[in-house]
Amino acid sequence: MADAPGIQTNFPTSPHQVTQILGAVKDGDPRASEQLLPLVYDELRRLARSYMGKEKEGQTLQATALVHEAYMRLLGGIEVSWDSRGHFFSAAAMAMRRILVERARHRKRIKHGGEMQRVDADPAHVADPAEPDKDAGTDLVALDEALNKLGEYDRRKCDVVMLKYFAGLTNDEVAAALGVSSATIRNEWTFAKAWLARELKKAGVAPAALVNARSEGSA
Amino acid sequence: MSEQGGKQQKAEEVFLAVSDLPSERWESGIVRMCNGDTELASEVRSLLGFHDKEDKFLDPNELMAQSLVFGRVRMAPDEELTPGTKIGVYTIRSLLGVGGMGSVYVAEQERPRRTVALKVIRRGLSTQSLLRRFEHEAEVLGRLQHPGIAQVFEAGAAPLVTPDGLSRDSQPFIAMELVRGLPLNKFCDHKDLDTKERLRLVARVCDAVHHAHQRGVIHRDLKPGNILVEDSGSPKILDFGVARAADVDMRVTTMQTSIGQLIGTLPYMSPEQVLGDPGEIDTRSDVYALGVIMYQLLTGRLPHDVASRSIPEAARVIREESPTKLSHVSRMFRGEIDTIVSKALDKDKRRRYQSAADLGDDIRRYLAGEPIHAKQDSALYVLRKQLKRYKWAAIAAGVALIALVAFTAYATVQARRERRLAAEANMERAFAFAAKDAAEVARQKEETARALADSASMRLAEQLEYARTERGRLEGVLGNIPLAEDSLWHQYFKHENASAPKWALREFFHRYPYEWSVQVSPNGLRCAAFAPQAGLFLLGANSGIGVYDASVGVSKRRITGLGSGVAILAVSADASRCFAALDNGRIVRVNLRGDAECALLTPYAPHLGAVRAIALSADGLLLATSGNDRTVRIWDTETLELKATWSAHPEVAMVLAFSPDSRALVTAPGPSSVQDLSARSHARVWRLSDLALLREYPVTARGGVTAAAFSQDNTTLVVATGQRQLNLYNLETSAVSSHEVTAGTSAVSSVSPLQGSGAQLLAIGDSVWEATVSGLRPLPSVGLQSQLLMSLGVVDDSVIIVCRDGLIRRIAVTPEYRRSRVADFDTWCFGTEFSPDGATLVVAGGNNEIRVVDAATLQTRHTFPIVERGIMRARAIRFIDGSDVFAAGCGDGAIRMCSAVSGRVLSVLPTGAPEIYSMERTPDGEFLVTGHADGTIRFFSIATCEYELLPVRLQRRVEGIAFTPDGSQMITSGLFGGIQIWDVRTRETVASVETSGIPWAVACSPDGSRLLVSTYDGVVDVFDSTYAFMTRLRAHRRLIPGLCFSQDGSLFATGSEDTTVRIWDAKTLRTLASLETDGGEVITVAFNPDASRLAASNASRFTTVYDFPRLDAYLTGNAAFQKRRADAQSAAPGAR
Repeated sequence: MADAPGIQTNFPTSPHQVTQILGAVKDGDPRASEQLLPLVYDELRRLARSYMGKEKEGQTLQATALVHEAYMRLLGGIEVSWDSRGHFFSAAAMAMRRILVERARHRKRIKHGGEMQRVDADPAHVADPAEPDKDAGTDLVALDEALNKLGEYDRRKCDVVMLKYFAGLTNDEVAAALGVSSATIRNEWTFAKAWLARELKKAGVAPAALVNARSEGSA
Repeated sequence: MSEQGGKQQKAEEVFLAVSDLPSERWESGIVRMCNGDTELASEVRSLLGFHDKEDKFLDPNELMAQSLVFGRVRMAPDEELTPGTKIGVYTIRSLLGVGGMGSVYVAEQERPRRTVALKVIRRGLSTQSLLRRFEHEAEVLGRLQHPGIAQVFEAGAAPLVTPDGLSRDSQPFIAMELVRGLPLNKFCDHKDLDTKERLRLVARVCDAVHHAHQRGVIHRDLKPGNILVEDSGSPKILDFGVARAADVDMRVTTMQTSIGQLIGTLPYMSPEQVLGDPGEIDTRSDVYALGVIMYQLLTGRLPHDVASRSIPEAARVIREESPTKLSHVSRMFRGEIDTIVSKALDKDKRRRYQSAADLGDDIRRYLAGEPIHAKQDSALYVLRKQLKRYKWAAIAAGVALIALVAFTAYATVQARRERRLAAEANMERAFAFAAKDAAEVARQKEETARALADSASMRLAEQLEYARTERGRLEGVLGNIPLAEDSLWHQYFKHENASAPKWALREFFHRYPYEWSVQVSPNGLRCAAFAPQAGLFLLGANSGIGVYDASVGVSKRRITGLGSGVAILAVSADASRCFAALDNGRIVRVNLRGDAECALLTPYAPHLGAVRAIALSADGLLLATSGNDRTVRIWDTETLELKATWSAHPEVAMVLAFSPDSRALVTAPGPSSVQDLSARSHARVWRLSDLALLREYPVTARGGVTAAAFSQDNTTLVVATGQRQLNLYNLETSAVSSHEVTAGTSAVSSVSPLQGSGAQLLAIGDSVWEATVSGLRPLPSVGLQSQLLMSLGVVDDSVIIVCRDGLIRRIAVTPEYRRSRVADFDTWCFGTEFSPDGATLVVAGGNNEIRVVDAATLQTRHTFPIVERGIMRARAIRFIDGSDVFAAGCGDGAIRMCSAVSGRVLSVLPTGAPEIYSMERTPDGEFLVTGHADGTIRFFSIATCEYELLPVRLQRRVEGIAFTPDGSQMITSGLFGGIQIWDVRTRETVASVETSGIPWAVACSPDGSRLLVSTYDGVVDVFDSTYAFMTRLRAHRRLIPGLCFSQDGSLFATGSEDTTVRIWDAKTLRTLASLETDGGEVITVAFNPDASRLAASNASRFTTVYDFPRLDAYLTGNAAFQKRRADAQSAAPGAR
């Protein structure tokens, strides 16, 4: 592990370190963005773990709220520019996407019973095997692949979806983070969703949210 | 691509334009905009087929992260119950409203016949634990009977029966008084109340809140929407204690409600609430909310505009920004009313009204025209508040008074140290303050203790001794090194064989690894030079040169008779010779091998005027000197001939340093007294082969340069200026990074490169810092020395510091917790245990690896996978008595028998049950008992490898198993709460014992006299052999998963998620030492058989192994020095 001071992720991270990294990302330091992602990733997992530790069963935990909590924890009250905030939330969205998609994959494996039942290495991923797969929402594994394609088609649309869906930012916040107008974000979002929905359909997983709407439309 | 891109662009445009139209006009729009381009039209049609008109697709609110945490819970959409639905004795009539926790209905109760408001808790939220909490809280809430509080009649759960007769089990609900009225703010506006009338209402609300507070109930969610005013004008507060009953603290609120819902509550949250620490929330948080409500009722706006901000931003504003003063909103509110609101809204809860009654009181005084109690902030307070926000003081807030007193006493010292401590500041420190004060009190009781010459005095005296040691230990935690050392060594020498001072010293050295300390005479001590490769260092004094062994700090020889005081020293890397600049202007070469033969550089003074700096090249061949004649000279160290002389600067060069390859030399002038602040001088780098000026770096002439050095890898030049600036110049890219030296008050006196990296160590005043391009950070292991540092040198992985008063210390640079650890697992570590002979340590990582490690060297002997494919962890490792075989309790519920000798899995004993959370041997060694995630317990016969499943299954996973030493009883613990006592013979539970929190681990002392249970709240409950509760130890700040006794029963250890390990005296139940890990949450702790080592597997990717004999080596390295100091102190008049 690189032992560069200030970026040791095995130490509790201080808000100043995070702002430092964010500053470096802003200045275009590619190594800094490499440091940011694991940091946010760790924090999200740590948060998830700490909630597991408390075992507040019965409380729900919104993924996007977790992202905001990570923001509060990692940056404390430190004021950073929207530019830097954008970098943070991009990393957080990416981390959340990975965590959720990893988990969805894991679930699928359990469900299809391909392997012997086993427990994942990371406690944040310990799924209760007794629990049926209740994710009625979007098929995250398929969405992940569709998003990869969207990124090839149009990088920014992919960013918009990531920031809105995985980090829970509003149009205005996404606009500030990406440095374009809110109207553009609204358009990008509308289009990207249709594009993704079609992609999901192609993959054989119609997005549940749209099934009703369309059947009504066609009737 | 461009054509392709253009097509995409066009499709996007048409799609966006058309999708805004009503769907029946889509087709005409497509035709119009596509101009006959059929490919484009069909692309747009295809996309429109997936248009998400209602914005339902990819709703971030649907993304739930908790199933990845809890595995089980999922929020079901809240269905509306149809009228006629029955929940227990209540019949639903109509829906009143929907909230975060569920919906509220108007309902009829049968007996007594009345109409109630029935809060039906969202089904996704209803769980066993929530129900239990409800039942517990119902009783408390029932006690709240006040006209200003909507009475809670009942909280509980009952079967739900729909009108068509379908029934569902257990629906949690809260039945409360049905209040018909308007929310407080709407009522005021509706009735057009004036200021006085509004204030009267608030005062009545205060009365009601106070009533609840007196009965121990905090609202936590006061807002106008929760306060309804009936038409008669009586306010009634809703949902009292409901937040608590559902355990909705801020953190969970963030989690459970959508962000939109949170925003409704956020403006009324106090700074301590937005901080998210539920422990900080108390009745004064409600006082804050009342202040916000008052502000809102009077001005029509909120004190902080949070609606337009992101949540983190809003939280920051609430924590940090002062609201616009009432008087600035309207001149109408000048004076006392402004003072009242400001006091209620104070960020610091200690400065708020301490109760709702006090607030109500002041409001009434104001209304009656009487003087109010609140005072405006004094000028002094405001000034102080602005001057500095001592972070630690804020942290110590909970310790209120004590911290305040301590604050005054320590403010001066602390100001200097604040920056250094800020990063490490944590509750441990706050706790330390409290404990320190307790220690002080105990000390004051000394006289009383002496007066009572009976057993009570003995006990007090014992407590006093403990308090003294504890005080020393806590001074160490606080970083008050001289005080800590004084107290601890005093206790150590006073009680030679007592364990407490020894353990406290072990903790001290774990934190501050001082390998040795010596004291030399400060008289005439002038300079120091270091020869790391030779393991020697030199001190120059008026009387001559002393040569010291760097590994133990003892003097090896003294060289005297040089004829003059030694002003500056330089020593060759191999320590074969040194050069000394003497006070008489001569420079002498001293052969350090053999007979200390001396040779003068020249028969006369090498410079005109005094010599100001000398430096030896790394290869030892060249000596650079500078003098008052403003020249720099290079000499051949062999022939002692002058090789070059030149004017490097218009000023006198005070700093000289060779590059590690001996090819370049940096020279720089020292601080000067020029008046012109803008005047420049330069640090210059010269190529030695031709004396070409390679680079020059400007510094202010006034500041000059106080120290300079090249990094070990020759990539960076570090220049410290007299104006407390530290510049790191990259010699390859010319990049500069500049840091303000904000530590201490003096300039950087010494810079020494750290080996094998670009980092540098700096001595600044009384502290040592590590400098890299990214910044300066204090070297934590060095701690604060109250002495001024003169010089430092890096030797191996240690730094030797020489203080002006003659104190010399060798200190390990790497923190102790990183020096002894089992190599990187790249993930959490779980089970760990020492072999019965203590020679082997086994650690299971979360990455499917088990490592067999040499317990002495921590070198890995074997690494092998738990399963061939996939990833598996083992939470528990237990050696089988009298063998090299150990059992690993694994994530798939199986036990794997492994060989510590051959390092492989020998056999797998499957159970089909889920993960093994705990595993213990029976005392007779015949069985391994496993506790599983599903609450089942199995007895594995070691002889037959068959298992017996216990008939009684616990509700939740079994996290702890322990046996009484005679093996007759087994104790289990886990998430189900309490502990269970089993009769091992009948395999049945015989009793269940309540614990103060949800338990995790259990441990029984080897003599059976004590049973320990650790909990989620960081507490250890202690029971005696009859399972009678003895005491609870506030051991840690968070969950304690690791708990074990030493084999002899004299010690026990706790390891917590707060990343620390504590070692306890099992007899006195007192903390002996608190040791840090590498920042990882501790999972398992295990002593080796003779308790000379403790392994703590943790989340830092490493398993930390505390090696107590090694810490004792530090103790030995310091004892002689401390003994002399203690003797000198006790000999001195006025000593304690």
